[in-house]
Amino acid sequence: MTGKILTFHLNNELFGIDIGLVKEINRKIKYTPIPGGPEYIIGLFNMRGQVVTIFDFVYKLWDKKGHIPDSPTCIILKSQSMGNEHIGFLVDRAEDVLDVSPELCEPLPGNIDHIDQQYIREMVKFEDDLIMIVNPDKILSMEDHN
Amino acid sequence: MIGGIPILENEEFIQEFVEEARLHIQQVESNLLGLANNYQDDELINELFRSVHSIKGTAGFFGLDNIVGLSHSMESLFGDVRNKRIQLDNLSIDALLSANDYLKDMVDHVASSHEMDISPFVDKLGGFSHNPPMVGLAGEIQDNSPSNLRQSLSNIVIDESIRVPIGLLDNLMNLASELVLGRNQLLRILEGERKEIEGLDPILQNIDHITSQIQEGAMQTRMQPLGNVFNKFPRLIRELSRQLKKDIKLEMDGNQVELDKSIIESLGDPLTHIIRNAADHGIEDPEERESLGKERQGTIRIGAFHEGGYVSINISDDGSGIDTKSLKKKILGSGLKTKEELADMDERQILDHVFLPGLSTASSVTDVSGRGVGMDVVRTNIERMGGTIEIQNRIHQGSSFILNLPLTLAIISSIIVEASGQKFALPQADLQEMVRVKPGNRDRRLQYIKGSMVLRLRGGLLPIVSLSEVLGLEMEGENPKRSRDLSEIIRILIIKIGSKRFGLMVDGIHDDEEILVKPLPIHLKSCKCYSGVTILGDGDIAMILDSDGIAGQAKLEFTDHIKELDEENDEEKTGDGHETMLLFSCLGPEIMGIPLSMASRVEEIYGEDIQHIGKGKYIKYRDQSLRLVSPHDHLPIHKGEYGNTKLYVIIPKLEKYPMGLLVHKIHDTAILDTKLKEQDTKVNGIDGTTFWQDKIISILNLEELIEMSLGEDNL
Repeated sequence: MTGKILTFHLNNELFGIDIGLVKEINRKIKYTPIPGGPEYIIGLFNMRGQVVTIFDFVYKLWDKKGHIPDSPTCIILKSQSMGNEHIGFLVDRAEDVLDVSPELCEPLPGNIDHIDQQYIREMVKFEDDLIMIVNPDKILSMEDHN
Repeated sequence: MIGGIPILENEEFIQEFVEEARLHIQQVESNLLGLANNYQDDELINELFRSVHSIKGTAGFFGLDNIVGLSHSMESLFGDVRNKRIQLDNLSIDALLSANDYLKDMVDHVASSHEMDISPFVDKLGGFSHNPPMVGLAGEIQDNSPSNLRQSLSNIVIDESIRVPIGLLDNLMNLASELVLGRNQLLRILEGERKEIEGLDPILQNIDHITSQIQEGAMQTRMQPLGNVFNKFPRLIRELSRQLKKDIKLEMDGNQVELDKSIIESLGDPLTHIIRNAADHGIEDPEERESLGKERQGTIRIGAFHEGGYVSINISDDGSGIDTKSLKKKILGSGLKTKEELADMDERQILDHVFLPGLSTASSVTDVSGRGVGMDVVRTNIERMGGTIEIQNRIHQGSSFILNLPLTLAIISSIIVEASGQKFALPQADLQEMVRVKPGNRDRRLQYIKGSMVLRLRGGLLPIVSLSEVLGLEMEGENPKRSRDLSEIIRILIIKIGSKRFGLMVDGIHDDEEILVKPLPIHLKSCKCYSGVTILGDGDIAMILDSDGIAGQAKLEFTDHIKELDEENDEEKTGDGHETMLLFSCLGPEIMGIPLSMASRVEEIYGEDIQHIGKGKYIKYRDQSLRLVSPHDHLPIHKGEYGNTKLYVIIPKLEKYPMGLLVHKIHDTAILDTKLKEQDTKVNGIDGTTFWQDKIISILNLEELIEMSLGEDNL
């Protein structure tokens, strides 16, 4: 891809997301858990009167519950394919915004097995870091719910 | 020409047509202008054809002949273009544009459109259909060429109403309610400074006022006329008449009454069901009607009107009415009630069985209705919207169904409950009563049957569901069912869903709160225990509980044989100083109340049923004469005489003085604070006052009232 990505830490690994998909970042959010709700949903968050459904990307990517800090940071996505719904997901830490050019990009190596291949769009190689660019549409899609 | 007459009758619908036609006309304009760049654009031509066609179709329905005529000419021209018989050019596009302008003129002045002359345009368009395209005349039309028109057309604005995506309105409403929340916080924080800071008070008042108005306005944008549902019934009646070989007339009133969009949308099915029943079982065959001395043609009336914060919809027929004798047989036959139980019931209670599953009053099952499913679903649906439904029945004269619906679904009264430290909102509509179970109280006891909890309440048994447990908030493996300490006070909400009842055990009960219902996020649709989401006054999100879903999740199975709890035979004390009150009023605006536990029955009567003997009023009740007392005859409230209207008689449990309290309206029952506020001057017959929905309620002292009436009537 070409353009800017927002990078963030999730489960001690570095990820990126197309900044065009991001609506805003909220820090220290207060949310309401959903007893009896799906495991990949952490809860609901009140963003100025809009209800945001917060996903657990750790659960989606590693199939285990993520660690949730006391005052978590939430990346909220622009509502697109989900109609009027607002979707967000928790990250450990939001990092920098970086410029990406096609020569930095690489398809996902075939030996990555603990991550469902379809959830990661591609890899970006920086000098020190490898960044996985997430494909939120796939992660959020309803089809592959267990 | 019939153009003038139908307009008057269908004003609401005409207005809708006008709005829609304007949109089409605008579309035609822009498409014609698009064609000027590319005469061969098939897609545009198809769109043009469709737009004009739909204007023609609807206009035809209303008998707007001139609009039909002109749009027909345009349509045939577009048809010819589509079939490649002719090709458009600048000249024909201009002719079409001016025809379209004239069409817009007619739509704008729809009432006088039949007086407008369309022939010049029809002739001109007709000329294009048959002749090959004329070339070389382009010079003459320079002033009118599409490119010049483009600018003037862009100035067109549609006035009076605009179309807005519903999402935008929902968003606006969300923001408005957020604003209300912000205002409340602001007012709370600045409360202490109101006097300190000069000029603050009027500003706060202004903001307070405007915020409320904005919220009200935002709510109103979602209102839609009932006509949107009603307009499908003429067709339904036509089809039913044919199918059932009956002659049925439909009368409708109240098309313009507005309700929230979400309610309008979910009203279609229940109303259709009631109308079908009325046509099938209510209205008799023409021959039978004739032999009964009725008109051959039966009538079904649908009426709607505003009443307080509610909309009342009345569906009545002039058919046979429901035969309570055969209904009783049906109830007996189905084993729902015993003979003794039935003997104890009044007509209203017996009629109420119509809403139970598995009971049909129809003597035969037809294609249309009569399988005994449906009325229970109708009631459940109506109650879900926070509404009520009741039957009025007069044998051989017909029956009516009266629906009372809240104006909007979006804001509902709810009670905030707590389970395992988390708050949830429970719609008041689902709540029958709240019970506190104290150890040692033999009337209401919790017991375990094979590890499941039941509540013994007033001789009945209710299954108990723990909210924490059903939501998975209590850890498995701890055997939570056993861990509940029965020696503490336990709070139970008695939930009613249609005819089903169960008890919901919660850890705490907080305040009542008016909440704004937001739809359940799409990823939570699988959670049957919730019906929506709301934002509480403190800004936290709370899930709105779905009682039906909770019953399902807890795998409760309801038989229809659950012994009805005899609510009336027990004191309805729900807490210290709180009591369930029956609220009613006479002719005036004053609302009065008596403890529900004091009332044994409420009977519905008509003014003509009242017999006057001397100064006294009597009705025949259970083969005896019952003396009536009108509160307004004895109390300092609005006075007057009732005409032959529907009235209610409240029969109190006063063995000493058999009498009935004659009132005009029954409002509700509500749990009210009855720590009476002593009045400044003691009025005979009134014990004190309390509040209900910010209105003052006078609590009557029945014994004093009766004594007053005895004194006045008999001495």
